[in-house]
Amino acid sequence: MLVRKVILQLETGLHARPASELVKIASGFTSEIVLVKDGQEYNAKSILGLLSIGAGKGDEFIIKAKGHDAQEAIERIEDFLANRVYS
Amino acid sequence: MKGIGISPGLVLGKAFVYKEESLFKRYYVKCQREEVDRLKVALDQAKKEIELIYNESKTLVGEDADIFIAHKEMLEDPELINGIIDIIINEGINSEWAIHKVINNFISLFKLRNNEYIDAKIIDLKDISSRLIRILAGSKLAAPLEWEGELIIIAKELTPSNILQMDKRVRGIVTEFGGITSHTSILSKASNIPMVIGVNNITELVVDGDFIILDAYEGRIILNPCEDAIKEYQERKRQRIKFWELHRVRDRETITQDGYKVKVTGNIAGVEDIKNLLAVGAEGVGLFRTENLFLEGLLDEEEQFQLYKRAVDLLGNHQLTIRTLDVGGDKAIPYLNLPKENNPFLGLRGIRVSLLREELFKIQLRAIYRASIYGSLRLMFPMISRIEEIRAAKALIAQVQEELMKEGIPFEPVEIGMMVETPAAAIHSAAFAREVDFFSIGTNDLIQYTLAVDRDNKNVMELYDPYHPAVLRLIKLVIDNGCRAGIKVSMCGELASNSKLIPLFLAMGLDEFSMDHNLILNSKYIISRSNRGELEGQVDLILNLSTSCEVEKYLDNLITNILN
Repeated sequence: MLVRKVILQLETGLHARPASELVKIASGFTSEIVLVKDGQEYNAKSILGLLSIGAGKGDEFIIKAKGHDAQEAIERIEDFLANRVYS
Repeated sequence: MKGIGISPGLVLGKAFVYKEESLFKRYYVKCQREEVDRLKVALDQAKKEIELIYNESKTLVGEDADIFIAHKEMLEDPELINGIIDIIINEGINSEWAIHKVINNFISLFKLRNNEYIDAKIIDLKDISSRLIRILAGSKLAAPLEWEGELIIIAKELTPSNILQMDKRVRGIVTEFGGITSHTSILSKASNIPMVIGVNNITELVVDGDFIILDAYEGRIILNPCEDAIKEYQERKRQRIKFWELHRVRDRETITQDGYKVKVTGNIAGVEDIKNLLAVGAEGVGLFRTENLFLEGLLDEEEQFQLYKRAVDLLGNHQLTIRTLDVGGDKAIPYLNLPKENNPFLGLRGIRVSLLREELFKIQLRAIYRASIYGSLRLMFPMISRIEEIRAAKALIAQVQEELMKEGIPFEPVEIGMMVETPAAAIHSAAFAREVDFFSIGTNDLIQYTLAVDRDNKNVMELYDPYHPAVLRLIKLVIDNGCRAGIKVSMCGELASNSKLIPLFLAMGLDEFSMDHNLILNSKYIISRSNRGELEGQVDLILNLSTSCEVEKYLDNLITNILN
């Protein structure tokens, strides 16, 4: 299992398009991927799960990924949340 | 009761109270595997429906249809699906209840966030939940089939899908909750279903089958209205319909109920009037009174040409009818130095002045022909009473054309018409029809010359009478002669916009009604409500009446029937 800490840099938080975008990215990997916030785990492939976090810019997350493509997955998602690819 | 009207309209209908809870029960299933299969079939069905709705609503509301993409994403959510399946398998209860439980769980999570954006997603969750439950129950949001007439749906809250899958009988919606800018509101507006939101406790107060007046213009609801309220409703409904029809006829061609097409055009005194005309749906200019251009002083050829060119430019595909300078009578222009007359209405007027002052007349003709290449225009002469006047004017046009050709200035052929405003022109119209391309009946002068009445003279004012059978017979004669010769006949006097006379002229075969801009909508409306075939048979009957009073009464009845 890979674990990484990231601070959310998306201007609009994890709402609407960004959330749906993240689901699409996560669903492209076979690994199990979860976001941990305040001790609670959320499935990164679940739009409802991501929305119910209600995360805003500046919030801190832990990304966990388990599976054979976990390395690539965790990097893609870290880039996304840190706003390094998404604009 | 008051609420907020968000999609306009006024309806009287039977209430149908929509209660979602009544659609499903909680029960234990015999075989959990079979129940999971039942759920999966419903999920597939729901996704198919959403795709259909998405395509349909995309044409209705454009980008706002994107919510249905979000719905589809939610239906594919693994947490949602696995959550429901877990409950079915672990608790052994039916899909409906499991869906209800999982969705409610998400809704309470969403509410915890206290975030406006996430709150707005709650309605989407409710939408997919009610869709799944409806599919599982195999039912539609619908009132009993035997209910006839217009239905008004009463609900706590409705989802966008509810709106798009409404029974065709539904003509109104009242809800307790909902937002003005919500997708439900946008869709009800786009589907033309009147809707009022924010009416407290309406689902408790109304029972199925109650009569309701829904006034979504003012956000008002009247439950089981009394007779007076129904009468008031019917009257308001009529006015509303008229209001809408007026706006509908504005952007359309003017066509009678039985498919006969005429034109309603405008009278103008200057180029700046054209904008007003087009705004009310005029189909061209039937009379451009050019004398007003000369009130301040003489305009040279270039100035006139620029004005006419600008007018045809503004009119686009519509036709411009220019009447050449019509001075004399009550329209005196001092700098022309015309002799003082004892009886100016029977003196130097219209074409008589133009033929006397050829140099002025030719400047105007040159300007008109130069503008002819920029759009659709035609010209006509005022105050014609003799064939020789037409021939003399046409000879001048031939000279102008020859000069322009020599100078290498391009022009197009222009239709040449005449005003029919003297009794002589009307009575002799069969011969005039062989000389011109169209007639335009000027009713103000035709009435005063026929009845020998000056309408500005207080002593005889009352005798100025548009319903006089002699006047109407002259008009019929002109239209008949024009028709026989195959030329168009229009009318540009005040009678052309007289509500009572429009049906009569329509029946006689008038091709074009030209008038002041503020009467255009009304006239288009009257014509589009008329049936020319039905009116035609009554023309002789009307012309055979003896007095104006009888004529007016008959026409008054006619227009009342047309407008009701």
